[in-house]
Formats: sequence, C-alpha cells, structure tokens
Amino acid sequence: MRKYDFNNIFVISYYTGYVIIGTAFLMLIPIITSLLLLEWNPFLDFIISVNIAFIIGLTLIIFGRKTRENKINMQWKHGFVVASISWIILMLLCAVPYMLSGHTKSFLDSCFDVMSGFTTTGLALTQDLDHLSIGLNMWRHILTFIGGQGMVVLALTFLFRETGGAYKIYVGEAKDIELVPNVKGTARIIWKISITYLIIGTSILWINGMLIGLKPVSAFFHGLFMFASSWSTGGFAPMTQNMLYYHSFSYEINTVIFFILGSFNFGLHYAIWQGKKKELVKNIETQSFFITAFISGTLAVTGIAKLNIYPDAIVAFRKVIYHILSAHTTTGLGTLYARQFALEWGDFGVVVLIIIMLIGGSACSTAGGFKGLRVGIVFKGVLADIQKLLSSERRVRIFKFHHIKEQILDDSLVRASSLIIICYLILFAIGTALGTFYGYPFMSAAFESASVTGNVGLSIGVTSVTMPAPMKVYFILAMYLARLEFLSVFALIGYFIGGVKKICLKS
Amino acid sequence: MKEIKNVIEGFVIEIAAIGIFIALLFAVNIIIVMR
Amino acid sequence: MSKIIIRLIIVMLFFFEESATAGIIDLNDLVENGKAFDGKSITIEGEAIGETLERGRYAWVNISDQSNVMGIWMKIEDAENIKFFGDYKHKGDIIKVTGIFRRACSEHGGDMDIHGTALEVVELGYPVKEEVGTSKIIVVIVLSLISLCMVGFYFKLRNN
Repeated sequence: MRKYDFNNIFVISYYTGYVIIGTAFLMLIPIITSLLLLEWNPFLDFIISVNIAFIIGLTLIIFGRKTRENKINMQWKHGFVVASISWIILMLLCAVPYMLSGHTKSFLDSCFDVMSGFTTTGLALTQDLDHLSIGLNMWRHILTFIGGQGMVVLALTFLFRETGGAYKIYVGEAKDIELVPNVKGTARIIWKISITYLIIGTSILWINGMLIGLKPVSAFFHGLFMFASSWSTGGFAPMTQNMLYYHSFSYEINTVIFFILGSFNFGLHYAIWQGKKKELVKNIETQSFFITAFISGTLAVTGIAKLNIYPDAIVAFRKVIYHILSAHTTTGLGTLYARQFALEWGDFGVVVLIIIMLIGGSACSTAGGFKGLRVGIVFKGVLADIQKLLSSERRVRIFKFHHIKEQILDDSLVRASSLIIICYLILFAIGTALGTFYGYPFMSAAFESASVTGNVGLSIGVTSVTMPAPMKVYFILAMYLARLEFLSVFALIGYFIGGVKKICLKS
Repeated sequence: MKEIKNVIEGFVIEIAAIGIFIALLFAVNIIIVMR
Repeated sequence: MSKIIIRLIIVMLFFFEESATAGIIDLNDLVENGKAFDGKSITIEGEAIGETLERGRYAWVNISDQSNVMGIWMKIEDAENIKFFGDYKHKGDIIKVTGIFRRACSEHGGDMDIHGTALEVVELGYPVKEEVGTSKIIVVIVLSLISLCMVGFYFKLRNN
C-alpha cells in the first residue's frame, strides 16, 4: 500500500516538472525581447524568474525520477492531477516577473493577471499598462497565446518522449480532440495551425497598424500582441484603452476575424485545411455559434436602438456588434470604457451579454463558456425528447449530430453535457452572490461573474485594484475551474482528500 | 504542394465565411436601426 | 426689483463663464458623466502616451491623467508640438487640451473622444533613466549558479 502511494507522487512530480520546464523555456522570449530593446530591469527580472522556474521544475523531475527509472505507468487520475497542479505552480512562477516590475500592487494581483492570461480571460489588474516594458507586455501576450493552446499541449509537443502518459494529461487540460491517433501528433498539428495563423495574422495587423498611423516597430509589436490576444480569445491589449487606443474600424474588423477563427475548434480548422470544406457549415458548433451570435446581435441592436445612445447605424454596428461578438467568442477586447456598459447599455443589453458570455465558443478551442457543442447537444437532446414523447412508442429513433464526423446523440452524452453546464451555472451564481455581498449592484456583479465564468474578459468596472481580496481569490479560482472544465480540478481535490485520508487513517 | 494549396484554400474559405457572416449582421443591423 | 434681477444676471454670467473655461476635469469624470458632458467644451490635462496616430490632416493623441485614458482628435500641427510620449523609457509631455467632448462620436464610430480646439504643453516629458539595483544583480548571479548546479546534478543522475 505504501509503495503504491509514493509511486503516485513520483509520477505526478515527474510530469509536472516537465510541464514547468517547458513553460520556463518560454521566458526566453521576453528575455531576448528586453535584451534587444535594452530594457535592463525586465531583462534581469525574467532571468530571475526563469532560474526559479528551472530550479523548481528540476527539483520535481529529480524527485520523481523513479518514474523514468522504473517506468511507472501513468493513469488517468495522474493525468488530471498533473494538468491541474501544473497550472497552479505555473501561476505562481509566472507571476514573479509581474511582481518584480512593480506594476502590480500585490502578489495576489500578479497571480490574478497570470491566471487571467493562462485562461485567456483578459481581466487585468496590472497598473499603468501604457508605461509597461515591451518585455513584460510580450510576456503577458505569450501567456495568453500559450494558455489558449494549453501549457500541456506545449510540453507535449517538445518534451515528452512517450505518449502513453501524455494523452492523459492532454485530456486533463480539457482537450479531447484527436486530430491524428497519437497525442503528440495532435499537439504538433494544433501548434502548426496556431503558428501559421500567427504569422499571417501578425503580418496583416502589422500592415494595418502602419496604415492607421503606427510607426513600423511599434506597429509590429501591436500587431503581434493584438493577434495573440485575438486568436487566443484572450482580451489583453498592450494599452490601457484596450482596442479603443487604435480608433480604427479596420483594426477592429481584423481582430473580429481572428477572434472568431480562434474560437473555432481546432478539429474544424484541421478538417477544412485537409479539404473538407463542408465541415464549416455542417458542424454543430459553427451552426450553434452562427445562430446564437446572429440572434443575440439582432436582439442587442434592437434593444439598444430603443435607448438612442448611438447616433447612427454604423456606430451601433461598431459598438454593439463588436462587443456581442467579443463576448460570445469569450474574447473580451473592447472599444468602450467598462463603466459604459452599466451607464449606457441598459439592463436588456447587459442581460444579452451575460447570456452569450456564458454560452461561449467552441469546445477544444481557445474559447470559454459552456461551449457551443454542449449547448447544441443539450438543445438537440431536448428536441429529441420532445419528439420521443410525441411519436408512437413502437418506433426507436436514433438521433444524430455532426461534429467533425456523424455522432450519435445518446442519453449519457446529453447528461454529461448538462452536468458540466450546471457546474458552470453554479460557478456563475456564486460569483454573482459574492459580488452583491460586497455591495456591487446586481447587474454589475452578474456581468463580472459571467465574464469570469466564461473566461471572457469584458468588465463592467467591478474588477479593479480596490476589489476585495476574497473576490480576487474567487475570480482566480473560477477562471481556473472554468478553463479546465472542472474535471481535472475535481480530480486534484479528490486526490488530495484521498491522500490526506490515507495519511490520517494510517496513523 | 497539394497540402499547401489545401491550407491556403481552407484559410481563404474560413475568412470568407466569417466575412459573409459579419456582412449579414451588418445588413440586419442597419435595417433594424433605420426603421 | 431691478437690482435683484441685475444681481441675478451677473451671478448667472459668472456661472456661464465658469463652465465655459471650466476647471480641469478628470477623464474619469467624463466617462462617469458622459451624457451630462456630451457636446460640451471641456478642458483636461494629462500625459501623452504611446505615439501620434496620424490620419491625414488630423491625428489621434491618447492622453492619460491619473484617472483614465482618452483619445484626443487634433490637427497634425497641434500634435507636432508634443515632443515626448509616455512609454517604458519615457515620461510623456503633460498637455492641457480644451475641446468638445463626445460621448459617442458619430465621426469616429461611436468612440468616446475629445475633438481638441486648443493645446498647450504644460510640462515637458523626458527620457527615463533606468536604474538597476545591485541587489537584483546579486540575486541573478546567485540563482543562475544554483540552477546551473541543478542542471549538472540532473544530468549526472541520468547518466548513472
């Protein structure tokens, strides 16, 4: 019994160490950036941080080295725990550069920003973005780009030698799409797709940036950062004003295209790139997204038009539709000041935003929320149930839906989807209650809670340095749970409780 | 070569589809606000 | 009776003059009271940040006071008066701008902005000299040595 326990710890320690080392290598990018731009303090801050990460990662690997020596098998529970525990340790490690920069008021605020980046949420507590070093801004946007892909996916691509354990951690990070039968190959493809779009997208935004008045070097960085933020449906921006800094319709349209693309399932991109173009319209998630985006957009425009807050149709389009799409894809980029949602949009507009922020984007993408797949499955499940009730009892009907391939809509699938949706709703409800407990108005508390639960990043003004610490802690937890889709975190909690129980029972 | 052709085709289709979607939203939006 | 009316008129004129030149408002006040200030002439003061975004004969200059950040639409000639823009290496010029505030500018896609009519550089900006503490350098050296040792240790274990 005892030997078995230690083996568990070794396995988890070993693989967690690898994920940490993999992510630590990323710090080389801001190091090189700050070096080239002669930003000495960030340069040193990142060297300190990368050293700490290496020391901790190596310690974990060395501690768990029996895993490699004795070839201990990785099981599902290990995979989930590695995924969830890596994210926590990484959050602490990646917060160090923020802390050292002096732009965050506390370590809690730094952790908040890191978790916001990892989960591609986009709410920020970093102060004075306009004077931030390019190195640190590079780091923020790397975090959200990597977070969108997944740190585990990153580690899988470069570091893992065997694939048995790898798949279990991959699923632990809430990805279940198998583009090719082996998970390392799938991870590589996810990267290929993202890097291809990174190059194309950055180039487009770079040129666009220069056309709207940015100087070449800064246009490049803005383009790179805004692409990373859009594709990962993150919502960070290098400037305090977010997208409003650019005052540009073309820049807005480009980000819309990239964030909608980013909110699509990687399997969808892969299928289309292989020539299966019909997937774009047959897929249940794109159907679900286009329908809900269209309905919510139309409803929001209608509702807001009544309030006469925008002078004409083009303005309404740029302000209303941009934020509807930004919210639905769980991106969080915006051209309005946070408080304007509360002061100008009216309750109906805010309610529409809350609902679509919760519905979210596609599964196995960079988006958050319930996910279109689940909403589609539950919706079709309800329709199927109604049809079963109405039709004669003798006919046995099989219901199907299309997601990459034809799949059967069976009861356990509908139930699993519904359960996860319920978990999200509970997360949302607690967040709203917490906000109202601390005195925030109901709509604002609900809006911010939906933004956190859906990993969106639009703010109505609640998120700020002065927000009570318990709310910051809850938001961090909620962003984390929502992004990992609960399972791995439940496994982690279950494992700890089980482990503590074993220790207590033994003595 | 065929792989690159497929990738470019796929990319163009994705952007076109989203462009059409946005245009549709824009059109409906204008109609609603004009009324 | 006429004396009272004259006094009232003088007081009202005072108020009128006050609101036209106005004290300097915080940008956040503009955000919070967008509808009240919409279309009015206001004066704000803040640091120019980022860079000038030139758009033909006019340009955007985004300025930051301690409360918020907003975009000013001004003539190129005015923008050219600004020497330093705030970023990591610079403190930007502090400029005082008078202009018309728009809560949802129809000329600029509904952006909340200010169309500047007068600009004055109140305080010049400057390049910020970076100071690196010696303690930081020591920490870097110590940590680097520790991790190098650990990497060595790791490879030694692997080869055994």
